[in-house]
Amino acid sequence: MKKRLFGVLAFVLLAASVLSGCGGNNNGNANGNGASSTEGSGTEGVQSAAPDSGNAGELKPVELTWYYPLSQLQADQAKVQEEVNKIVKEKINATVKLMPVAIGDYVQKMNTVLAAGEKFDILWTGYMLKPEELVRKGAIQPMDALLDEYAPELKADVPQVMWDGLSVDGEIYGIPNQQINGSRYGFIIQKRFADKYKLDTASIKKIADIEPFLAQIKQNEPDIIPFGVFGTSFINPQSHDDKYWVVPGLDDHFYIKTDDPNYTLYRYPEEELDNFRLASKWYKEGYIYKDAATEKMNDYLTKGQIAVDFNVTLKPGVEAEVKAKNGGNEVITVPLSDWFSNGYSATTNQSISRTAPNPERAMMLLNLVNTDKELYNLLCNGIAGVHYEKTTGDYIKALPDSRYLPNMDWVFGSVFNSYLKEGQPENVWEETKKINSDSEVNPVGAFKFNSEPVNTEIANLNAVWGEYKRGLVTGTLDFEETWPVLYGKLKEAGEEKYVAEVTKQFEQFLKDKGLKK
Amino acid sequence: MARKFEFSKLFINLLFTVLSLIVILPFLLVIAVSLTDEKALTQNGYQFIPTSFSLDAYRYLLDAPDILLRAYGVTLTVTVIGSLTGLLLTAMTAYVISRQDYRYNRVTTFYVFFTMLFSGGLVPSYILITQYLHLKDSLWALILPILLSPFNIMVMKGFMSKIPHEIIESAKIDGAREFRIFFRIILPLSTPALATLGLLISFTYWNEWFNAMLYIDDPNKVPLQLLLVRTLNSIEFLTTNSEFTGQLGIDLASFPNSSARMAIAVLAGGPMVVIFPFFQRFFVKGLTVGSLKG
Repeated sequence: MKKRLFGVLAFVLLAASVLSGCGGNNNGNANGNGASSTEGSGTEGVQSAAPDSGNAGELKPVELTWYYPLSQLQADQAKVQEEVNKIVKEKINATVKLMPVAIGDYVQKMNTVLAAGEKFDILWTGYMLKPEELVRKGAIQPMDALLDEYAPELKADVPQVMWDGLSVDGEIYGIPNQQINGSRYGFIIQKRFADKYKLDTASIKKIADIEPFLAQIKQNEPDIIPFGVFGTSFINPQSHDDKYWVVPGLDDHFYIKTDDPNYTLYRYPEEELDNFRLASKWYKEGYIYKDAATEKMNDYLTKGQIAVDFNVTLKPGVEAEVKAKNGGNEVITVPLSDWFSNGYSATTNQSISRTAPNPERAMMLLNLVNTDKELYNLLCNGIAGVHYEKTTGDYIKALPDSRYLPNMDWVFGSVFNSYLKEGQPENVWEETKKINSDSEVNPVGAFKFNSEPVNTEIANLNAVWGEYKRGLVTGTLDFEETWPVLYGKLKEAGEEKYVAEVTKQFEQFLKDKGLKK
Repeated sequence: MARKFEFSKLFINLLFTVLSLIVILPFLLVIAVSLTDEKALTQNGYQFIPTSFSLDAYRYLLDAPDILLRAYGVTLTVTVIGSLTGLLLTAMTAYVISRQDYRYNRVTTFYVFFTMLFSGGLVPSYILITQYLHLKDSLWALILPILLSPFNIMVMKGFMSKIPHEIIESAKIDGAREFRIFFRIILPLSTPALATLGLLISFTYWNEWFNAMLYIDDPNKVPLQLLLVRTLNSIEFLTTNSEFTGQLGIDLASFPNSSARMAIAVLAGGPMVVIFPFFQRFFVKGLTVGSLKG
């Protein structure tokens, strides 16, 4: 009898622990539900806290949690957090728990944190963790009401085009960390070769025009790679030239014609394929390194072995930035396009988590970070006199062996509020703002594709492209031979279904925006 | 006759010399590269004798030695506590399921074995650790998740099943109770298996960084391996994103890239390489015995 009881007991224990193991998923769901219900309580919080706003003394103290990536975790993080909290405590009676995550771990860590429904307030979103995808997963909350209520200065400071770029289904899901928002592509050429062969930069109007120069390098400089294409950085596709705009956010092979009132979608237009043909030709001529498809560009670039490099962001001051990267050799730039922009591409922003216990206070903090220059620079550069010193005007210089030097101003907020670093032109932010406002804007830049219906096809297409991309982009694979095979495989992988879905959603978008009846 | 004998001896010695070299040389190369100037590396490639000697890689890594020392401390603490408790619990579990006179040993064995096939997955584990056990930023978050490995239990069980049951019976007749049998008879008899598994477990703890990435935010509790993984990632990040290095004033051509990787290998693996030979004499016996049944 006793033995029997033990048996039953053992079985129950066993079953319980097995169930709890499998039940983990249910817990996840339960938390997901919990998360959506906190959204409700969050909005209640907005209403109840509303009368208090404006007077920090009456706000009840809360602790906010803020996740963001850093290239390197900082030794003096705690010290800086303490200083940050002095300001935040005084202004909005809150404290911030800064949670920097090493940039290499950021995506995995945040996906786990979000899937687990952990309670926290703010997270950095951007090119690694796209806001639209987080919205589809239900991980972040809309912030229109919060913005109007608690961050009017911030709302006014950011151009409308950026808010549009961060809207999904008509609601704003992110606060942009303002920075350069235009692109201009062209060549970066080592000055020593341009001078030696008397390169006439004015004669270079399109990509193919650089060819005679590459031929000269090939002939006379045996140790130098004429053209730097290594499969990860490539000359195509272009997001904009005189004929086409790329449809952003997709796989960069959808185009519309500039000035086309019908906004017809083009898939792989001849002009794009011509770039592949060019790569193929240059590879055969020996302008592209023979092992380009498998080698790493940086190994050659840092030794100063690459004569011409193609770059998509020829921003002000880029010559100084890439000099070190080119083995310390001086470079000149040859832009091939004007400034253009996909509207706001949501490269780097802050979002508020669904699970945020205090969304309204999180918004106040974000407003503060973007409007209080002192707070922002504390986050970016550390404490004056300890981590950096002021030189002249707005210029600062990091102290040697500084224990707080994240050097990622764009992670925290608008870079226009940052102190200037040595080598930056004094008017760099005015220039950047000017570029942002003057850039030609992609008419369909606000299109957001919902990939859910064709997730399988996208994965398959990416796999096919992954197989061929490096070979094609570097010209290692002959284009005329490869393209029919590749295209056949793309068709098998679901190309048509994908194109049909994109077209459907794109037409809907055009209708909604009133671009087409 | 004598000459032939000498020849075979020479052959065997040669063979093992070559084998040893194959094992040792890569380690030496790693150490040599970690001490080479980065500029010389890009010019000449990896060399056993550095053309120009440089400690830059170590200088870069040891930039803030207090952090590295603390990370060593965390890793050591976790490894010692984890290995000892893990080993004890493994041995206890394995002993129980290896006893033929334990009625539910098949069921229990299956229960242990079952977890080898199915695990809860990443997100449920994360929820368990952070929201139910509240172990975030605690060293226990590094110790508990890998405390018991079903594979190790199976290896241990295989070894313990070889111990004749008569020993236990005769001990019982002499008046020993279960705990005395386990600690005074079974454990000493299992020394080879204990040493082997102890080494395996300690390796697991020593190399662990993923749990730390998920659960540790406090910079004072970051273990060595996570610190080094991060350093590696940030080197990668710096070399691929020139806009940052421009501001930092680093000359990329001489930035310790490859040599820093090797220095990381030396710092991370070094201590374990030193420990390994001391365990080795147990290692062969322990593992083969286990593997037969495992």
